[in-house]
Amino acid sequence: MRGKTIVQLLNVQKTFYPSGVKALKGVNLFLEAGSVHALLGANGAGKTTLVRILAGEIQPDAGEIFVDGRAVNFRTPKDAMRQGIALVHQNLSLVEELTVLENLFLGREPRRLFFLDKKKAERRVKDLSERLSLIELNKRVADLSMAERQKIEIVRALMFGARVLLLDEPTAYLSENEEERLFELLLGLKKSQCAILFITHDVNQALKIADRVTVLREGETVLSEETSKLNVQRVIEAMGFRSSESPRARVKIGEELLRISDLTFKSGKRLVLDRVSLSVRQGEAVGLFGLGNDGQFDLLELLIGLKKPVSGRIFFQSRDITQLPIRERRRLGIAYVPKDRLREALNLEGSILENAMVNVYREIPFAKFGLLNWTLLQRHIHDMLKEFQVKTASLAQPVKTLSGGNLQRLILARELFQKPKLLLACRPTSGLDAQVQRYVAERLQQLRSWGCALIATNDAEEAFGLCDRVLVFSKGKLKRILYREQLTGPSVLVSLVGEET
Amino acid sequence: MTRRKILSPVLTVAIAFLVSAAILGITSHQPRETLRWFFLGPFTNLYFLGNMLATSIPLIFTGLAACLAFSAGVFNLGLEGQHYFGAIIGTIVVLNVPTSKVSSMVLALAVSFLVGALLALVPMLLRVKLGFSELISSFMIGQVFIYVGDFLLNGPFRDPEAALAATRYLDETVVLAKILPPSNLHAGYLIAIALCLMFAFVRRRSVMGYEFKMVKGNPRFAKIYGMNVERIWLLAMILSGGVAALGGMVEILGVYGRAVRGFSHGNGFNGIAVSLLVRNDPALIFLSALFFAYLESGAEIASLMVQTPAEIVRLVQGIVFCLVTAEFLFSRGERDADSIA
Repeated sequence: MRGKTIVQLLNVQKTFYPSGVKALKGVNLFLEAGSVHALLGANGAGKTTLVRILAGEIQPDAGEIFVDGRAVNFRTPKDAMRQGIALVHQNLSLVEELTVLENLFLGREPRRLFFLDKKKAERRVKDLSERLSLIELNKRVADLSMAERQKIEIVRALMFGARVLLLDEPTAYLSENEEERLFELLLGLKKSQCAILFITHDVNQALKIADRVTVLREGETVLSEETSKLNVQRVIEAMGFRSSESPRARVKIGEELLRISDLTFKSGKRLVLDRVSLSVRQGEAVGLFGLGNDGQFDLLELLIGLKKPVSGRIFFQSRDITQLPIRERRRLGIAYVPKDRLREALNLEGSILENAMVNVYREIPFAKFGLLNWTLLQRHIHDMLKEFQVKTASLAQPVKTLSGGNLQRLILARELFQKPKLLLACRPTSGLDAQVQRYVAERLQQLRSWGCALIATNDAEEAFGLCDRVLVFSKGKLKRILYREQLTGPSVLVSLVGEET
Repeated sequence: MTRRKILSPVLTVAIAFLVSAAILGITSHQPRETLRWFFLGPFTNLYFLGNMLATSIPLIFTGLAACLAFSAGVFNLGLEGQHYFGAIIGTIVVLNVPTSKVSSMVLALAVSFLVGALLALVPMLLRVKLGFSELISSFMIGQVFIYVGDFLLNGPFRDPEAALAATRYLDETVVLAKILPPSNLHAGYLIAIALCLMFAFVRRRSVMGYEFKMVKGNPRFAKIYGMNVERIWLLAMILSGGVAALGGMVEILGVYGRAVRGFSHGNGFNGIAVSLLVRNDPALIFLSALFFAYLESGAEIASLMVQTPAEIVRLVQGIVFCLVTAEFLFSRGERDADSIA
């Protein structure tokens, strides 16, 4: 069943300027037809850089790439595509304003005999989409979930003859159900002699579906082996982690900080949240769990003030804050970690300092008479990043030079350094390696000695790991509340979602 | 990175010079003389030099106006209308409201600022409330008011004794002081540069400057972290339109002494290029305005001395305009390619 080697990388190296970060120090890798290859590594190990090189998005400084035994030199993604290599992005690259069909053809409209080709392509889309249980082709991408968008990306790659698929953390935004379906799809593709490289943090997942596992550590290949000859322990060691339990000590529960009564929210005509009521006390970490986008993220956006409810009220420390603007809510001690790290939590054009100071810049002593005191700000941010172990060379560097794990530390540091009474966090540990996940868990634990947290997620494992009470949402309705004693494992949450109460 | 930042505008300018030289060389009967006057004319005496600096004054204003809008990530393409119409209304008000010398100067500037700000505010309100693109609506509203201005100058407020469409002259005492007479250079130059430096300072050091930058970089981010994005956009547009109109008023107070039909001849549109040429750095706007003024003055002097048609000069300016835009777009793409995922 295993086919011949399609792609081979030899001693590939890459250094980024001006930061001088050595992302890859010498990576070897080969991809075979009809096999799934998992690429593992901690944040910043160079996984994303590697696939971007393979996809022709960036050029390596040294090393060789062979396709079908011939040395190649990809200058643009088009060069890679011509060889049948396609990348499915971590931060998906669809145009939200266009429909599914339009996106599928985007930038690759058949040039000759347009109408004939379109017909053929439409049939091809249909074949594929049946296998994928794809959404209607005329729906706007803006209305789709992350999982659906990802499917479209994969279909798009296949439609145009991709035989090597590079998936950058395909499961980061998926619920477990969707994950299963993605894996089924990958197995199907494997049978049709595609070579698949997928990046993941999850060792179990990698061992479950991959035929071969390669581990990167600080830009080097440290392990590359058939899955059958590996076990979890060996892979985790190769990645450079020590295994340990996440801390979860008992905390004293204090006064009520947040109360929501009958909160309803509509987006257009769609009912997103239906009369949700809940109460959170100091010392609690409460999870809001739904398998997909079941209103749990919208609830947090309502609480911080990004959206306005149709009806219902929000009380914070017994004060009605339903009509307060975002800035006022933050001033009361409410902190927020948005869902989309790159598009919402950061200004990628700004420096590390400019991003890190966004919660304090208008406070005295940093701002006086409308002027900023950069010296004080710099000192403050430096201390903050040091305490929260964000590794930076210089505060003036662009924030996009930081690795994913460091970005998440920065985003959390910015909120927690203010000692908020209520932290609203969307998927705080998603897409992070075990080390950073543990770090986030520890920081949340600290927060509970003076405040409380509401964590919205579609990852049962995350809800189970971080929270001691979980509210299960389904299609905008609060279905069930699970207390600590009932939380025996992540599977409990998933199995409950379908049930009526 | 830094070296490229300096090198690329220099290269743009060099290419512009070469192209203009080539065109003049082909079209003129006395190419060598024309070229000499074109390139060196503005520096041959203080009169020409002063006039060149004076030509740059309205461009500094409109350049700064464009830069103000860009700095918050919005576009003001109605600069021409704001520049022209704001100044006309300012002039008309001062002509018809009796006041002392100093207060009529202040009145003229205040009225023109308000009118320009209003013309820029409306398209931004349309964007904030209804989601229209401010890029298109600011342009269209600006265009409409150019013609409204023409109508006012040709109709109700035309000086019956003037040979062209223009208002009466302002009182002789209501003018900006000349520097370097007999050239046109006037105190407006200092006002223009002071405003630019002020904004450069605001951008670098103030809360407002920081908020502008964050809103420009990622409005969604700015909103989530408590900034009032819509208010910042409105403020940027108000300042942009106001400064553009101020430039027109200063031009009338300093050079014309009355509102004359078509006095703005493209200053508003050129302001966009002036700002882009120095990558929207307010501290450098006076330099790029000077460059545009230099091209214009050189051309005027050349046509005065050697009879080179003025159309040729417009052609050269058009080419520079294209080069600037291209350079801007090119540097955009490059910035994206730098990112590490």
